[in-house]
Amino acid sequence: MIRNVKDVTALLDRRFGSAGARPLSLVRILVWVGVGLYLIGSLAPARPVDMSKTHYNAGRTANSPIFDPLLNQNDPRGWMVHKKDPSKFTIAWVGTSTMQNVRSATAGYYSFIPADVRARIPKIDGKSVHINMYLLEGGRSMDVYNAVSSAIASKPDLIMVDLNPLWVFNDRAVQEWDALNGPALGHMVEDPANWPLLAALDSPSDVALALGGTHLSSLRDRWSYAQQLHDAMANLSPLKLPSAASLAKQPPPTGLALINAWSTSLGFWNYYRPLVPSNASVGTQQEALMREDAAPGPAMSADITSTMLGALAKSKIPSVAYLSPVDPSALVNPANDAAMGRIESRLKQLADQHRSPNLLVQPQSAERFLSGLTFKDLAHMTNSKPMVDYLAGLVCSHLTAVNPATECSPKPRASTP
Amino acid sequence: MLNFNSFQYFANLFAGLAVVLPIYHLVKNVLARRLLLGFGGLYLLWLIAPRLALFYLIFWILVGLMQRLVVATAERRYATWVLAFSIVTVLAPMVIWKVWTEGFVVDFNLWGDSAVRAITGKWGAIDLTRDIILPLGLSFSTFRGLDLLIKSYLGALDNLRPDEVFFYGFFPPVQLIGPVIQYTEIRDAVKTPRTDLRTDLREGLLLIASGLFKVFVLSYPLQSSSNMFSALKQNSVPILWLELLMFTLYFFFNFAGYSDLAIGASRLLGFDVGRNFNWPYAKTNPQSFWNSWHMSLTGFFQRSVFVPFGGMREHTQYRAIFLTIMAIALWHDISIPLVIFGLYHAAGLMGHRYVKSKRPPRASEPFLRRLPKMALLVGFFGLSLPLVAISTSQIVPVYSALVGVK
Repeated sequence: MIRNVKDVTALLDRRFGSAGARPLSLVRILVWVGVGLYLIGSLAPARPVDMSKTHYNAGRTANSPIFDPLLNQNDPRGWMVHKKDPSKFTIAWVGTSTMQNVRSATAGYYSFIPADVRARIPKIDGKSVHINMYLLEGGRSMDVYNAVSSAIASKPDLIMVDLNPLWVFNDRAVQEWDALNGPALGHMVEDPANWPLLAALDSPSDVALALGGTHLSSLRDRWSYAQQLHDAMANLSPLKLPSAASLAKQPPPTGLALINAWSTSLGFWNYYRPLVPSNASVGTQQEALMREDAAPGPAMSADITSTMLGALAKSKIPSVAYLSPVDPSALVNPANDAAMGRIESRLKQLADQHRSPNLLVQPQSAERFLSGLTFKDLAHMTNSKPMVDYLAGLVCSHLTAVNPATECSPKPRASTP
Repeated sequence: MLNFNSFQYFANLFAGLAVVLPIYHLVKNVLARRLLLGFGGLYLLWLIAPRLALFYLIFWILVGLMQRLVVATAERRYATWVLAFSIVTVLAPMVIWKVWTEGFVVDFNLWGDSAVRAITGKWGAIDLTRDIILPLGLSFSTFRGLDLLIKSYLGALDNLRPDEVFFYGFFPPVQLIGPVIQYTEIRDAVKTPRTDLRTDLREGLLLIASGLFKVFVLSYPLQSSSNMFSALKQNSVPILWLELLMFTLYFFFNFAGYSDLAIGASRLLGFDVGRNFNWPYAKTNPQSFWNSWHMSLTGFFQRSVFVPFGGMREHTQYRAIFLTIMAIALWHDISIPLVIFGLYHAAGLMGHRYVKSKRPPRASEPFLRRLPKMALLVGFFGLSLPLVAISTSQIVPVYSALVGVK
């Protein structure tokens, strides 16, 4: 009878010629584990990712020139970038919710600034423009940088980075999409400038799984396998769970249950360390976040943004990083105006540190020089047409500045309201 | 948010061991080895959240100071008072957490982050990216600290140097979910290998394979059974009993699997940490069940409660059994369900002790004769398991549903 590990080793000695007792045998076991993982990936491949169900792609038409490569926020594969098509002019456009144009007060219906810009510039250098739009809902500075590192690695023709003025220097949350650490690691580790960030935010398992996942699909696709297994177990289980409707009838959680219900730690910090009273409007809360973002002193998010600008400068790929606009009516408040001024000034300082012909940093928030922008709250636009006009012009002027032979001219705005 | 994935800890541990293990076996200097493992454990906690690492740093500094105090006063007439004071001090965080859970969790995270931020703003920024956590591993650290103090009081340990306490406090494999190791289990192996490296690697890998098999193959498919407590009205009585059986198996395989991972990782480093489970569901009476369930913890309570309260003497053995099992129960949580859990198992253990005293058991029994007893014991234990997972207000609904009253 097997009672403990000694009995198992004795059994191995009797039946399997002392398996695992010699160094060569241990190596052999390791090789077989690798072969096993390879065979799992080959013989029972994971369910393919349905890219049509991601946030943006769900409403996308089959031939749309805009594609969101990001996978589920928890999927450690991060993104699926299509191979660059040399017959197209590819733009990687990275940003957070501020690159959405919120058209109505009801949730779930949006247009996207990159898509609107694409409508104004359908062709560059005679090639059809394709946009890989990395839309990081709730993304913070490290998430944006992880996505930018992927964008650089995919060698697009242009990189656009939308910087959210509420979060670009804000240490309240420097990362929300930590599943991107693994897939970004391979690109980021090559540049020593990234090492302090990797040491701070990546874990040994991120490194090991990223390394293993490059060669073994069974490791790379572990999230899909887990989903499949979860679904299979749910089907097998005889337990009937309460319906969503009956769960909705339950009283809202309080105490530890409330903490447990928050999907990110930011909910906890906002609740227990509020910048303004919790019953304040979204706009007021966002103004407080912007003022926090403008706080002087060293900030990790500033280091991240600086390192990102450095990576863009070194990439030699034409790149534009711009500060997303805010509602100008909020800047009537001198405290908010001063805060925005400090954010702009800090971004300009970073831009000066990473001067490069291929990189254009627009540190001035666009509401300073554009009129006609309207907002749902401080940071989300309901009418972004002036911004789209401006960005379309910026794209062409920067490309022409980098390479004067570039053929790029925005179409006039359609007369539709 | 509060449900930390324990496997994440072990994934980091094993990935880290790929680097640490060769260094550890190449370095022969004992101080360097202790510091390597101590900092390794501290780093693993830092990966969970810097505030957790800082908390344990302060905790083990406190334990180290208390240990010195206990040793220094061991020959004095007030030595017992010093021991009591140090035990209360070390026990305090865990008791406050168990009694005042919500407030402790909130303040633990808020104050912990503020303290980290006070050291350096960048660590504070990293800390804010981490999950909101319970004081993970606090029970295990508390018992390890108490074991150190009690052994020092009894004269089994001299003054420990800071690096020795650091090494024991942050011994990487056991930070999160035990087993509750004793300092003497790891004290000597760091100096001279227990056995040859090949045997350690072989046994360590086998234990880790066993742990992974228990966690992923045996326990993971049963995990959904823990949802039964919120789905009482939707399911029939037979289904609820089936789910309870599955929950009983899940509870064991999950716990035993993670214990194997910790013990296997220790073995890779050359430490012979005692096993934590010895086929508890194959036992035929409550006494042998508890002697084989979470053995490191029950061993701690046997040394610290059962023996001192007269468990080895006939006229005080029932009192000792009662106090020991109540301590084991209340370790989980200081709550009404766990008081009932303790009373239930105290009745089982004392009843068994009484029957055994009247009718001594046979020396050995054939398997078929043992089988119904094993099934009965699993049922007896399984029936109490909901008490570990539910709140006071759920006790009546859960047990009523099991008998068909909804």
